[in-house]
Amino acid sequence: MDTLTSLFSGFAIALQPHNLLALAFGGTVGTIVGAFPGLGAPTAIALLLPLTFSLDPTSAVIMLAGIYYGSQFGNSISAILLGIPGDSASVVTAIEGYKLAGRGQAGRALTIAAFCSFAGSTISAVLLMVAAPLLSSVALKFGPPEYTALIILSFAVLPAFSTGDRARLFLSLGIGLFIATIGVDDFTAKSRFTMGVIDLMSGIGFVPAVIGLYGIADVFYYAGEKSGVNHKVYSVRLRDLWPPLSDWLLVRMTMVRSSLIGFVIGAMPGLGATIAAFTTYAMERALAKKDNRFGEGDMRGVAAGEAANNAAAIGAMVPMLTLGIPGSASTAIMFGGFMIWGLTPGPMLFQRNPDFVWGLIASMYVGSVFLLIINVALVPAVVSILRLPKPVLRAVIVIFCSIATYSVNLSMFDLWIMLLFGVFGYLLRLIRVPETPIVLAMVLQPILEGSLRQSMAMSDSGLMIFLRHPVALGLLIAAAVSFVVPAVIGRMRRRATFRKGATDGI
Amino acid sequence: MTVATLQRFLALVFVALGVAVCRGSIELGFVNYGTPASGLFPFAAGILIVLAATVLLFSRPTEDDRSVPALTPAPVLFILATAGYFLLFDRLGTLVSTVLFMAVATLVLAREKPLTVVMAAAISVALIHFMFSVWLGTNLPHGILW
Repeated sequence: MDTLTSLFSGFAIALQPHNLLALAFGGTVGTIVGAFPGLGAPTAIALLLPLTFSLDPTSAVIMLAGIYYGSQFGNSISAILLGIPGDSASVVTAIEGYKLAGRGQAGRALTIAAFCSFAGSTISAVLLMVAAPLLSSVALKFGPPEYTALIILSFAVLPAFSTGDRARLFLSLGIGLFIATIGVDDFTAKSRFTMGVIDLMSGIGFVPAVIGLYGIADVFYYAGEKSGVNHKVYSVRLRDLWPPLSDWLLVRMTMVRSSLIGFVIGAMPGLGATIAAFTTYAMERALAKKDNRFGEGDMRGVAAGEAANNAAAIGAMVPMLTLGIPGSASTAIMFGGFMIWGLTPGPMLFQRNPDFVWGLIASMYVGSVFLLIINVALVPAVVSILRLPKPVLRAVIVIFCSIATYSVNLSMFDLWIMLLFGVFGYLLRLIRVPETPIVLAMVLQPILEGSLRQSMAMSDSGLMIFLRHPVALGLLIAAAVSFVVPAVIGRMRRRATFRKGATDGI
Repeated sequence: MTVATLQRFLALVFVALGVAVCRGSIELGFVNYGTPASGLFPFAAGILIVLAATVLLFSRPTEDDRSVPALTPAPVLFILATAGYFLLFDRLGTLVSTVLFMAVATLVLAREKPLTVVMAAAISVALIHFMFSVWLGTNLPHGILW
């Protein structure tokens, strides 16, 4: 009953005209940015984060959430019509959707993608509404040792689900941890690695760093491409958008299954929309009967990927809202936004800022409906934007990023930091070092350092305090298992493959 | 420069960075009255960077990494154009520097059609002006204009 009352009050907030406007603006811009090949949700959020600073926190988070959901929806447009995924979470959609477009079913695939995104978001919002208050009431009992252990766990699970190799991931994590320590230490008042630069005393600005790592680095990375789109761009007419009944019947169970699994995967820190999309795609392929056309354009592939990645996007908000631990790059950037608005994500958020949290949750429902409408109606407009020359788009993105970054503190220093991070992110991308651990570390390191210090201050026996707190101990054991087991399994697999190869050779 | 060469070069830079971070951390100290001092976390970060970069330094590059060029002229020129934009940003003002950057990035570096560029520049400058100067009330540098 409490939940329903809170939800209704959340709707009263989300449906206020200025919040609806913020959601509409965020959703539309998110859809357009998400539709650009290579620009995913983190880039869209980083790009538009500075625009939210002039709004009140509730409108700001609703706008950011709109950008987040919008970019997830928008990714499917470039995936289906260009065969180029907006980000890695829509690779599955590109595999199946582009083939469907080649068979003249682009309109149907886009509508199925939009509806499955809607279903994924809505089912996920219901699950979040039930799970988040329960989890936050448990998390209220967490003290510094539990928080320390929880953050260690979220770092430890990163390699288990990473597609790249561990060295690159740990390099990125180490760099992020180092960047987060730059500036004056709040506890000891000592300057760390500021090299006498006054602008660095308050640390590396979060906004210029993330805009550099995502927006600017993306532009530099794709600047090597020739003008124009190499892939054939399929166009679509409004009258071709509605799928036949057979398509709906084909995807109905896929949509539900993928939404549920996507939410669970998204809610686990370190996992995310990409893993959710690939897991559900693999599952649907396995469940499909022999007459399936997976790999050649199957509507269930589009449905699985889109329902799962949208469900995971909302699921990723669970650890952020309840535990104060961002589960993905997008939520890490949103987390940074929360701090700048003066809010601390975590269990106390439900107690101290119920209007904010429930307004956000209600906006998920409103946003899903709104995005469903604009994603079906805006497809032809987005297609014409996708046909704009890329050099023009790149220049516009750099200009927008620069003025957005400058507008936060009216600081030229921030612009240079953004450029530095842009070049750095570009170089890291060339050697396939992921940038997400850097952002996660920048957000989580101050909390980890603070909670470890508090734990040690309240302990009379040093690190033994972690053994006396069962939840903290359990989380640390889980961290050790998550860290060691995948490495051992990987080594055993490699050894088995080597032995098999040797035997076959004999 | 191939991806493999760039990887080795950056790995060396990161090893040097990690060592420098560790050295700086030692001066900051590790423990302060039983709690972590300012140097503990950066030291851990430095160790992580050194270890990971060393593995990267000695990892075997793939066939693609050995043959694919990493740094092509187009991104490098784009980076230089962006740096030039920032140098002129507060000297010439937002409007003039933005139009100049747009012209360099599209006409000089990419040879786009002038009409497309003029239209895109006009729309983007108008949108940015409305969004930042009118809506958000940001005081952007006027430079030489007024």
